[in-house]
Amino acid sequence: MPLTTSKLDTVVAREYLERVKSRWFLIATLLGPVFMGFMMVLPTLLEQRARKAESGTVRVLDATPDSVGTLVVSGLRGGLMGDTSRAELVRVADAQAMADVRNAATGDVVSGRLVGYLELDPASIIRGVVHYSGRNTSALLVIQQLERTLGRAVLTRQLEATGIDADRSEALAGQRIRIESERLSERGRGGSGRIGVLFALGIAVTLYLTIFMHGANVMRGVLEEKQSRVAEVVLASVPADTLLMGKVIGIGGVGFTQLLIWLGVATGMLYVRAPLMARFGMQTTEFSLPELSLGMGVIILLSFVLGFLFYAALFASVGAIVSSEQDAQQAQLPVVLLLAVSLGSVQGILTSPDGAMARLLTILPFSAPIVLPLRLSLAPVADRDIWLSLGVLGVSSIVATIGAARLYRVGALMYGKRPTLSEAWRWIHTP
Amino acid sequence: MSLRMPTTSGDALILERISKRYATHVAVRELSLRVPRGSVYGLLGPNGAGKTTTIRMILNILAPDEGSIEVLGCTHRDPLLNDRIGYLPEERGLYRKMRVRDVLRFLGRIKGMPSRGLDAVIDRWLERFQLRGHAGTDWSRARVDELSRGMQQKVQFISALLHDPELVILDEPFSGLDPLNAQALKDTVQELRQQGRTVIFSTHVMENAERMCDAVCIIARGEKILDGTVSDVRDAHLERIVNIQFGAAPSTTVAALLQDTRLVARLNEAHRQVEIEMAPGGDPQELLAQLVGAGARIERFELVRPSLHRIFLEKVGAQVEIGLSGHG
Repeated sequence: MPLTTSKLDTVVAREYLERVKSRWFLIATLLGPVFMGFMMVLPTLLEQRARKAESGTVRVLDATPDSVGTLVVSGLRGGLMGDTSRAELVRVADAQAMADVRNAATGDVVSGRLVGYLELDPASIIRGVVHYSGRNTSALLVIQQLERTLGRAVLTRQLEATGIDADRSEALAGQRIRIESERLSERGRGGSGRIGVLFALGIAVTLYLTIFMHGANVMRGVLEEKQSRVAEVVLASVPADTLLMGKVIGIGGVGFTQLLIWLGVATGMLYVRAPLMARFGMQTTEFSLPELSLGMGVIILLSFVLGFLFYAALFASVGAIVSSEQDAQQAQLPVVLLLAVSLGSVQGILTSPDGAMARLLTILPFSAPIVLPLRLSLAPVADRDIWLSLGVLGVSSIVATIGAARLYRVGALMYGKRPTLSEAWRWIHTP
Repeated sequence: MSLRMPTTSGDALILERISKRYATHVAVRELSLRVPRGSVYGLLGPNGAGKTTTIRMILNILAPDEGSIEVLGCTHRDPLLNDRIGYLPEERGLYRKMRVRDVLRFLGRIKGMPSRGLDAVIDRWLERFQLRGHAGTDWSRARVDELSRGMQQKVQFISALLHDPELVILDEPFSGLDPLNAQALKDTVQELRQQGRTVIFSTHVMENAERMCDAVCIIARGEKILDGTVSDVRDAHLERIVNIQFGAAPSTTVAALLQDTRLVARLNEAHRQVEIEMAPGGDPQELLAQLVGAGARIERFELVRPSLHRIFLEKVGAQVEIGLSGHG
């Protein structure tokens, strides 16, 4: 019907333009990239801070007969020719002497001469738990380095005890292996595994945020029309389903525009990342993003569109049955929980992208919009699962939209008391 | 519900036995009425009588459970029909954050107005209601929430009339209006009548209805009490009220006659003037003959045309007029 289409266009245009022209859109759209930039720089900044916390002297109080402490100090200094200010050794004869040197070391830590001290005695080493006291116990990197160095020193001494010569023991204990993972699929090799996980998480979180933010906007839009009483004038000109559809498309368009802007900025940032960080005196590691095929892109886009439709309809239903912002906060909880469950399941899906839970959540309509793109960017997903997921999501979106339009038609003109579930059900069935 | 095919009747609106039930009550019960084209029609009733529900059914915002509605010769479900109707709801509101021109453009566009030329029409209306051009003012660029309440009401009228509708429906249009805007609205209704438009408005203020309407329908508790042209309705109740001016104080015989419940239902007496409400079936001519027969000196004997207000009170009952809150 050409006329209703032109009315739909008018509603879509109003919803879209009023929001895109608003200051909030500008702020939210700008804040996104600022946040992204911050996330990019944050790990490097944290590392730098941790390095700073490491600096300062660690005293090793060594009561072991085979002088494990000597090896620890040498390890912390970075070898025999290393930085002597990083660690110092105090040999301790017995338990009584340990108490004295411990008191002295505590005093030195408090006065700031030391950052901390490590107590080594045979009993602790056999037990496998060694005590460290210091200013920087929360610095994970420092503790990790201490643990690594100590473990290596103890292993060296144990190897020596079996008769292997000192150099060889140290070399053996120092052997380290790192795993470098690479994603392998029918499309060939592509991208590192870890980057793939980050990328997948990024997609899931972005979809979650967009669906949540703009879905809630649909709810607020419906509520605003009720509260300002403009709904009745509009409903006398546009059928309820056209009005609701226009609202969902217009606001969805706002979300889509924002996503596109963010995507553009993110791509730009990837190019300027290294020179930008170099300016701040930071080093960057080269990485390549997992390759995204056109098909995958289309499926991710489809799940975003259908997922948005589904949640927008649920949020619109909430908006239709409430009369105030406070009521809306309460009534939207079930919808928010559904969305949160999908995001909460991410951990489980990362561990087992092909597991039963992952497959179930791909098919359920409330989690599919987030879980399907997540799984797709982690590991290949069977075509059957993809189509089933999109099919169920599509049908659910249509059903939810029809239900929402019916609730909206009745609810838009109901002010005051929130309906009970059975009343809402009757609204849906009102002819 | 059967959908009627378009007809070309002389009526702008025909309701045939429409009903609307809710879970706990019946809002409208088998209501039938006809509104002639080019007339100003009053839908009268106390609060909660079913006026707003009826209007919403005419506008296809609500669907009737039974009965049929024909508007401007089409079934009320015709999607093109809404563009020919202007509507001012009782619960008024506009998009508060939008600029006046943008709101009017939007409301005009969803009434099917073409984009081209829309601004000129909006300007004409804004000027007419002194929102633009008057002493250099131009409120068209202001946001709705920057406007005073009175100015918002004007914008709301404009939105109902902007698309030059054939049928204008005003739901309790005078509620909350300041006197200036109320007069502006009355003038506008008169102009619409002169242009041959049909205007339907609901109200519970009978004075307005009596002054402005050609025809009325009184409804209460969802049912029609009476309808017809204002003069027909008043004439139909002509014989109910009688004013008598006595030339001398009535004798005891005359006084006894005035107490006869077969003829007189109620009596108000002030000096030598008496206002009588006739008992059902009581004939004023018989009363006059008996009074003269009893030797009463009568200076004036007048059959009063009752006001709509009076008819309303009589038909609907004073207790309902005080009113329940809620939509009419």
